[in-house]
Amino acid sequence: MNCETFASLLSRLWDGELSPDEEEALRLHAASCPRCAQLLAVWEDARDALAHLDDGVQPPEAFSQGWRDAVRREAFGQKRMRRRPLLRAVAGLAAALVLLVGSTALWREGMLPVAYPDGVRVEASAAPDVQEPGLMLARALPQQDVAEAAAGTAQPAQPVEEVETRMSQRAFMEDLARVCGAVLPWALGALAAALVAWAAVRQVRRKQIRRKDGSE
Amino acid sequence: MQEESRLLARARRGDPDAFERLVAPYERKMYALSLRMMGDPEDARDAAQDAMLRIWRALPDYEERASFATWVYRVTSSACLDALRKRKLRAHESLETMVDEGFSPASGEAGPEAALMAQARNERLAQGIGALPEDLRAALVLRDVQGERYEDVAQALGVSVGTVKSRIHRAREKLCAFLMQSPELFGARRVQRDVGKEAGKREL
Repeated sequence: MNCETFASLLSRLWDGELSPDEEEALRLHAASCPRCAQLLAVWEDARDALAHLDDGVQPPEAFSQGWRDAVRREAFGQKRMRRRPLLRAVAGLAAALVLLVGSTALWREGMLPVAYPDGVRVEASAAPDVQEPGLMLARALPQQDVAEAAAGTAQPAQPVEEVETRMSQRAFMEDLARVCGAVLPWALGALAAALVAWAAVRQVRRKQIRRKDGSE
Repeated sequence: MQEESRLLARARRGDPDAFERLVAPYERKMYALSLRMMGDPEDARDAAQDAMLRIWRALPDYEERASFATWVYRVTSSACLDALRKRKLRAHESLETMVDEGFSPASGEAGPEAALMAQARNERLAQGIGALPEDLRAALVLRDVQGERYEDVAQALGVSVGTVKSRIHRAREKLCAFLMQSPELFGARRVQRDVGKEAGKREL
């Protein structure tokens, strides 16, 4: 046996795959070649040491507790997400609808109180110790008066004691019907599209994870 | 095995208690694999924790083509390789730091000198493992440190058995070439013992 053959057999010796004859030939060569004897000794030492290298390793508390906490956080989050997803979607849609109707009503013909003069009742009386007369003026007066006040041409503002706005119920119902007729089909369509997109993204993500874990 | 299947089913439905019981037997090996792959206790902890979360998230998609243990090691190796790619491999921490993090060098030999020797050898081994290319390192650690079968290492790394054998052979060659530079730690006593045996045989 030459040194090259000797070196090529070392890995099989490590795994205990050599036949008794092969092993004897290998050891005979080592007995006559100091360099190969040293190599054999290092390989055998390394094999024994590696097999016990991790005998004393214990996972640190930071790891043991850390992954448990992280998993529980995720599990709790997932449960919340999983819980009544339809209700969450419908609630979100309803909130968006109310916001839309509300803003449409408010901006129907301009800012309140101009938009619903019948629904606005302004009562003013003298109150000399009021802190922010300008702000109250803006709330209480029609827009041209506000402009005059800003330009300093208006009469000194009367402090406002009470401003109460009341929206016309009829106008609101009209807006609601109009918005529902125009927006609801689109909103339902958007919801369906979002659900399809979410399912597709989830599917792609699962495939990516599977491919990654399978290929590495 | 039945218990594992039951826990697996519950964990898949999002039960964290079942998941804890399912993976707890692999926790130590996962951390040890990460420690050898990353070469640094802090990075090992992060990589092993990342692996745990990956397992938790991917559990519904686990198809049981490999054993659960093999799949766990595959995900752990993958998490470590990703972490290694994200950063330049830093120099290994000293053994003192590893001891602080829960590592205690194992030694079957008695006495403080023998313990010191074992400690020095383990440190040298860890340095040698850390100096290996990542693909060789993963194969060597799974096979020669963790004691997995070639077939399981191949599944865990997603390569053929032939590739794994080739990688492990090259890893051992490189590691032993590195250890040859420390004859006071590796090989010397064994050579002396063998020389003594030969001399004894000749005398007889």
